[in-house]
Amino acid sequence: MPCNAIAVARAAVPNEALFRLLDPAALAQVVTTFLAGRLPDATLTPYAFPTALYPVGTLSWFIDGPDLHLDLAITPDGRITVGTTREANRPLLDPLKSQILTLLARAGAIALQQKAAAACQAAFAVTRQVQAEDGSLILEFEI
Amino acid sequence: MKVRVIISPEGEISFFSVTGSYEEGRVKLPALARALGAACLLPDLPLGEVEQHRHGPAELAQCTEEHTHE
Repeated sequence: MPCNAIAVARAAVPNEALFRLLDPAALAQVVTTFLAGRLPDATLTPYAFPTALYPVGTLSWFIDGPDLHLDLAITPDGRITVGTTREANRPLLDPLKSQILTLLARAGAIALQQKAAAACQAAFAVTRQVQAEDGSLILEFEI
Repeated sequence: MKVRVIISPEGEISFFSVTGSYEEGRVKLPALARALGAACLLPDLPLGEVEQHRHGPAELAQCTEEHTHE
């Protein structure tokens, strides 16, 4: 059985583009659920950064708890800022930022899968749609 | 031409021609990517060059030393 030469094209969607696929409510839900698990004793208080510093649409929270005083901001273009005025909290900043970044990218990729599946179903006769074990979405159709 | 689109949980989109020639895929896959990007609110989908491969991911697992490659 011969193996045909096939054409392959790939696009790695940047994180900021994936973030834009999440509506603010979904993004806030992802972040607050994560923080409730990661910092169970903390209280989250939404607040508004001055718009001169952060663009309209920025989501931000004070995160307060025993020996904990952080602020978190996520801009609509995917910029994540975690800050603190307490020296003892500084070791938390980079890991938290990295974990939130990964989490939102993953949520954005799932939103991308859902939008792509809907778009392909609407435009083509999709003959196969499966979710692989690694979380990848596989679609097949004729063009 | 039959195509397979794979979207990973990391946000990478791969387009494969399952049937048809490489030349056909070289023309049609970028057009498909543009249309899909526009439909998914990603008008600037950063698509790389269309590559020519002997196998897709599924075919690779099925290949044995007994068959011939064109």
